[in-house]
Amino acid sequence: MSAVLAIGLRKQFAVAGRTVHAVRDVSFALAPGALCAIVGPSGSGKSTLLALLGGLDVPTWGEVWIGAANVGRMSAARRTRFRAANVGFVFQAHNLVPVLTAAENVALPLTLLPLSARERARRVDALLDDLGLHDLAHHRPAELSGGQQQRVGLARALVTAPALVLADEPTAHLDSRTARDVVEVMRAMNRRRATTIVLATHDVAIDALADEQIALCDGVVARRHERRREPWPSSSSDSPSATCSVTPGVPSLPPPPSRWLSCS
Amino acid sequence: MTVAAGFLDFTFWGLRQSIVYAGVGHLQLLPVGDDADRTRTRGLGTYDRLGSDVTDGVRAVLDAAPTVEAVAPRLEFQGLVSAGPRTLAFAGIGVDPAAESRLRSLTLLTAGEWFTGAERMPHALVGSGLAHRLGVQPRDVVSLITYSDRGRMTAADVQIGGIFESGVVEYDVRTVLVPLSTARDLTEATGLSGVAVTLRDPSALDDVVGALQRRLAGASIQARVARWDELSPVYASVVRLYQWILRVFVTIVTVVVVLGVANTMSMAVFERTPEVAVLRALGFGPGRIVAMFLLEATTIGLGGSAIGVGSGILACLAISAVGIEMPPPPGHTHGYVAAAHVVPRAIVVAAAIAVGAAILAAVGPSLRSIRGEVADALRAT
Repeated sequence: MSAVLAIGLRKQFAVAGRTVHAVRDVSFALAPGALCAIVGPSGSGKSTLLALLGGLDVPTWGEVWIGAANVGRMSAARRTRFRAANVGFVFQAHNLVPVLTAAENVALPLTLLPLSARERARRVDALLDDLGLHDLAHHRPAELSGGQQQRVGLARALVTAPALVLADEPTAHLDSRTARDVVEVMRAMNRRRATTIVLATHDVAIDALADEQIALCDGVVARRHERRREPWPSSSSDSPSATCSVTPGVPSLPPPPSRWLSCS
Repeated sequence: MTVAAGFLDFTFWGLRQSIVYAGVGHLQLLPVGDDADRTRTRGLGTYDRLGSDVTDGVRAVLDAAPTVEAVAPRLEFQGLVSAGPRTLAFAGIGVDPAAESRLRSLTLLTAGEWFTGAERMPHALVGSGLAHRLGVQPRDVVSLITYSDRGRMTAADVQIGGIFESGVVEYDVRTVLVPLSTARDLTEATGLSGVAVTLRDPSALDDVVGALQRRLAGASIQARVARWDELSPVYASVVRLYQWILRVFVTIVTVVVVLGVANTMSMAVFERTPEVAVLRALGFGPGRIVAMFLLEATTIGLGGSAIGVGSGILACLAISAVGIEMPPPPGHTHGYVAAAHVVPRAIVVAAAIAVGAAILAAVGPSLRSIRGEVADALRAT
């Protein structure tokens, strides 16, 4: 079973009396544990596609499956509950709650799950250790650098052990070195935890780390590339398939050059 | 609001005190035929009187009530007072000097002195307005003329012992106080017009009234018990008027508070649109987010009410310590120094209004914050 399956996704908006097709006929499947980069220039539909995949929005047409759940068909309340348990989000602007400490920000999604306080603390501590944030646990976001804030955002996305993590331009506000560090951390977590990660970016340096790239142009899949992933570490022997499957009818394409960043 | 309510409470308290201790007392025993309108004009010599059985009958009840402060028997009559060429109508009250002095603690003697009991000829205390119109001073002698209960014209010369001001113009231009014995001589009455009673603890009024009524009914005594507020209906009118003013004031304050907090909450919600969008994305449902804002509003309301009520209490204490010089109320001759009471009920109401207004004001903005799809909210950030 695919971790994420998009079938003929379309999303239309009415803007100033005319219809804008933000996403058109997008279909693909991602295997569990995949790290997929959605690339494309601004306005190409990356964020809209992520929103549809994460159940933040409903498609005008088509279906989104996460595991065995058809997210697009769920009621708003059920989608909310589903997100809380199954989807993690990393945002472009970190979007940490400024009055909470790093540890409290990470613990935030856990308040929605039926866990004991001890279990919450254990999960938060473990994740902060994993991400090298242990010493910053009691710092507020304003006391953290951009990279550290994004790591906290990543920890918040991972703390519920979701099946899917969606990251929308997670490195947009970071310098190139910090951006690479953050992506490497994401890559490491993806490998270690077998969490399926889909990130939207127009940073060419990032897509090289992904198992699969989907290039969007004007809401349409322009190109698609998959590469065989490195073997899972021995501790992850029970991890799912390390290859990205391709939805029938959506051909794999050779690795794209940086021109992915434009629709030319 | 705490200060306004405290100021009004003081005003009501002051009005009650001025009514009770200007001679009305907390309650009065009156003849059955008498009514609460003591100001109506009656024919000379046509009075309802309490028989001696009444005072004897209720004495045990009054003696048994530990809260009774003073029991002042009175004998009222009307007539003409003559000083030289001037003759004016007056309302006379025969009083027990000792008991009456306790009951008239707010009556001001502007000249002369209270009854001493050692006077060689009958003395009278005259209201300042009447004294002014008669042109009399203490030690002057005036003639009191009336019709007795037996229908005979009677007269007595009395010396002006003092001139008093009750503060009520209408009262001071027509009242003459004389000892009960002088009043009996003039009226040839064996009974009384009434008995005024003051209590040390006004909260015991209902108990004392109840006990007296039971005693009167049990002994088939022809008398009725009237509370001070029945005898001074103006008090209820004043309270009603001021309470309406207070209600209007509270309504205006509440609207201002709601608008103010709504503005604050709108800003708070607007500033936190990104935060709300993220929380919704993380799986926080609309109910939780609305509850979060309502909880915040409650906290703001509690904080605001604590500050407001605290400031109000301090202001009340400061006003009471310093005092505010007030002009004489309509119909009165004296101004007074106003204070502001700390009224627990007003504090609770003010706090409840602050918290309620904050919650009410937060409903709209918090509902707006959860409108639409999460993706739209995130895009807006």
